[in-house]
Amino acid sequence: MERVIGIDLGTTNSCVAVIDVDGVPQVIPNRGGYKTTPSIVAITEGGRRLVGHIAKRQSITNAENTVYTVKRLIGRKWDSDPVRSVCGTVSFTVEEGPHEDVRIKLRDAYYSVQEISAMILQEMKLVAEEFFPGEVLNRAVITVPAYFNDAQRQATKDAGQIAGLDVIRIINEPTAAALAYGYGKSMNKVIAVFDLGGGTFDVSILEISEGGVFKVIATAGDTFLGGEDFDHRIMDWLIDGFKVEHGVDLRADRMALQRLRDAAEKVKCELSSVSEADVNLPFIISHGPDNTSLHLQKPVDRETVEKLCIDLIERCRELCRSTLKDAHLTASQIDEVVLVGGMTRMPAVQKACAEVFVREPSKGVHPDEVVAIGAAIQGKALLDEQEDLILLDVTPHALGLLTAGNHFDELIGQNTTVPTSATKTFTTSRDNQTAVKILVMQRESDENQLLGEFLLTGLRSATKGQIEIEVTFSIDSDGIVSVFAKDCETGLEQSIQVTSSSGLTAEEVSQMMASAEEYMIERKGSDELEGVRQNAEKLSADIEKLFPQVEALVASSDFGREALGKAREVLANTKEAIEKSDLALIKEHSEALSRTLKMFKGVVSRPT
Amino acid sequence: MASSGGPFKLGSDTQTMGSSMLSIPRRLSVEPRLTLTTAELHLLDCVDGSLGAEDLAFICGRSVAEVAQMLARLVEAKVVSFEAKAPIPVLSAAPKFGDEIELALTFRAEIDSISARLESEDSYQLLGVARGATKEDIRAAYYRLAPRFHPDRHFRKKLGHYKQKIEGIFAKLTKAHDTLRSDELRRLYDATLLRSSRSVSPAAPAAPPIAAVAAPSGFPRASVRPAVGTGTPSGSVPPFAVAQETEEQRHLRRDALARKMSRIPQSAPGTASSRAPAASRSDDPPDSTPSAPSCAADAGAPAYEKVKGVRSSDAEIFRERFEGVGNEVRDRRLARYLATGEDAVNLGDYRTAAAAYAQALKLAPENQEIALRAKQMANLAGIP
Ligand SMILES: Nc1ncnc2c1ncn2[C@@H]1O[C@H](COP(=O)(O)OP(=O)(O)OP(=O)(O)O)[C@@H](O)[C@H]1O
Ligand SMILES: [Mg+2]
Repeated sequence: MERVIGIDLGTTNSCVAVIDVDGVPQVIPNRGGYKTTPSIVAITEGGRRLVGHIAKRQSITNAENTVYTVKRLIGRKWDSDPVRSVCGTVSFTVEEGPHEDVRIKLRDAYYSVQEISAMILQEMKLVAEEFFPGEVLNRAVITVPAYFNDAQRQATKDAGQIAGLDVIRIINEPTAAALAYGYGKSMNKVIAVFDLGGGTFDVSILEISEGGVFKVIATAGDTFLGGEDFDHRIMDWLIDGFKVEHGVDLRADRMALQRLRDAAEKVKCELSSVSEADVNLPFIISHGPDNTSLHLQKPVDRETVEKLCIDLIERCRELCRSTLKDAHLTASQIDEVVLVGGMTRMPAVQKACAEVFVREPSKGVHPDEVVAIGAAIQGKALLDEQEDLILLDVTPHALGLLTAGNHFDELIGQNTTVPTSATKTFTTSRDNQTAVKILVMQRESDENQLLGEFLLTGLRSATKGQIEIEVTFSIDSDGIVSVFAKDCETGLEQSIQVTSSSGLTAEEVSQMMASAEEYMIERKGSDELEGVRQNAEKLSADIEKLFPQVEALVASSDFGREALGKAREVLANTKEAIEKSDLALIKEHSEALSRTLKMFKGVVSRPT
Repeated sequence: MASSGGPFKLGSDTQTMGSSMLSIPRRLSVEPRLTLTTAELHLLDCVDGSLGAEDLAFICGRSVAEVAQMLARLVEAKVVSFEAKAPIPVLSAAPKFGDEIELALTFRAEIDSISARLESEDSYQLLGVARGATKEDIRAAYYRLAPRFHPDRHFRKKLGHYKQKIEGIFAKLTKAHDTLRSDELRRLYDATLLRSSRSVSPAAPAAPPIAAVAAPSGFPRASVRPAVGTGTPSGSVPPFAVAQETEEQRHLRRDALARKMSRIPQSAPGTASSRAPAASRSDDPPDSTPSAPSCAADAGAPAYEKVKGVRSSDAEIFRERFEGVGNEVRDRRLARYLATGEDAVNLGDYRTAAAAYAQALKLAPENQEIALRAKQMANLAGIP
């Protein structure tokens, strides 16, 4: 069976896993040996694309062209609070796109958010392919926060498509973590998954049943609550303190901001294991008429950070309580709590979680890796008929339609197990109304999001309330929403399959796909060139090293002189080909080099 | 709807009527007090001797089962009759030859049988547990049954109409489980079971609340906030588009953005080709003439906008394709009604003639000759 890769596309870090033939989950390390790769993309001055650790390392010196936290932007409208908030804090340039969407400017080009995500996905695909040489790994399951809405999911799918992946399913991060937790064990338990990552918070309660059935009972979350918000609190505190002390606002300096961001995160992580740490940013800014250098050096203790972030932690707690309520369970009915996400290393977060669920969290899973493993497990379960595991997930948002007076009329409730469908009868609201507009809405917190709309026309002209219209909503197991409306009198019907707009047209997606593919070919080509070049250089160096020795041995004969001349020629030609980066020519000369080297070696090893 | 026709089973009966054509008898002799529902009349209008039940279902936009039921009543009332042809099972759920459905036949049979029982069985029967079952029994039964009917078990297989059936079974099982595992819901459910078993005619399920559907004017296309929503914080952020922007200004701005951000070299700005990618999903056409003439009554409502990412349904495409066929069928029907009318006049059966011409007039409302004839016959038959 063809392998399916599971990708955890995180706000801060991404991770890729597969299930190997014996059914053992395996997280794949990148070239540097790390099991997670920073979700960071940069374009260098020379136009080279960098992804992951290498992009992170140069982020201070190339802040304007280094993109991070794109997951907070994906599938969002330009004119929305989250986008405004990201715009105000990041060091790269964000602009409005042509479809009310968000574009990112790097060097001279604009990229859609999906494209940036696609670059990260491509990198994860490469990580996996390098680990399994010779295999092409196209099929993937990608995870998203459980509380993502339809547009965000669709945009993530588009990113996968742009990256050249066949995204067989999008699954929820906490659900994936639960799969990894319960995979291969026969158990009968109710578990809670508490996932606080870099950008989002999710909490899910599931029932795991023997026979490998995972049923989500309730889920809730906040797509804008994560480690970054903790970092911002620390940053703000440092900036404010600096202003009081020196009267200088660090916010105006991009480089200073980038350094502060890194320092805030670093000190936050340190404080998870020690109770006091230092922020040490010498030469943070130069100031005044004589350009005096100012330094930011400040001890920070755990208590201070906890106080700065108290409301963030309280919000997590509150969401846990409401999820328990939605699940009609009390904390004592939860058998196990699984912690996921880097932020759950913070003691105050662990304490809050332990308090709401009245139990210490399970130690069995790796908070950074479970999600990718779960995605890989789901991929295998879908394609492998031998696998009995089945995931019964829910819809995180209620679906309904908008009726007279902008009233949201719910058809499918939050936390309904999918696939599902529901039917309701409506009537006309005005006299002689011959058409109704069906506005399909998704309810998210207190806001309604339009998923799609269509018109049912040809109704008989009648007084209001006389014509009945039957509306059916259904969600299939891929999460695709279909809506169907029928005039009960004439039997006329109309339906749509809602393909939530992710902000890109189909043409744009295919254009972006083509350019991503082009990049991949180029990159693979340059990787090959690099390998061939190195090999040719090594052969040349070896030949040059032996040259004086060989010359001394054979220069006396005509034949020898001719051979030496030829060798010189080959070396010169190779050098020229390398300068021209001509792959075919280098390859050709490499063969000649090998022959020459072999001959040289033969000469020097011949007994005299 | 009066169901004097008795239950019409989707079993062997249906199979015999499957491919036969329906027609209106030349000499109608119907029960004088017979009244038909609007739906039945609509169906009757489509009966022309050239269509079978399935075609009729398609034309009327109803399910085959519904049409079968209506036809059963109409046949019994002798309003329509079958022109029997070789009976080929068409309506039965049995797979057609070479249908390429990738499901074992035994499993299909099981799905069919459960689907058929789905409406009539209560939650206990569906899960196969006793009325007094413990929560543990219910849990175990659900987890044993439900996964078998989850479409993921048959991922990327061709399931045809079985996909919907499987999903339907799964949803029902889940509903049953969720109801019976909750103390409160189970108590309520048990109470309704008790009530319906006591009363002779089962109490109709509470009608769903009827709300009004309307196209609210001035509805923003993206997100709707409750009226009391807090305004967006202003001033703290980079320049955003001003809210008071005319439709046209917005178009121009978006077009400009599309050009600016495209990495593909543009031809002269503003030409049709350079606008194409941006326009395909954006909210064009910019003019605001109502696109559907049937919206006329909705003059106050905003023009129907082309929706992003919404595909026209298969049914719609199918219907369009059918329109050509429809005209041909209509002409044939018209000819038949006129012939029936003529025959009836010759026999002195003015009632039938009047009915036939009335039908003909519906098909050709502008035809003065038919209108006149219809009126004459109605007078002769004593119909006001
Ligand atoms: N030891 C630690 N103490 C506190 N926070 C930490 C620690 N280690 C990592 N973090 C924080 O965890 C966050 C990253 O977590 P993770 O990698 O799980 O997020 P992600 O999966 O990328 O994001 P998301 O799931 O929200 O999309 C960062 O904000 C990081 O600062
Ligand atoms: Mg995560």
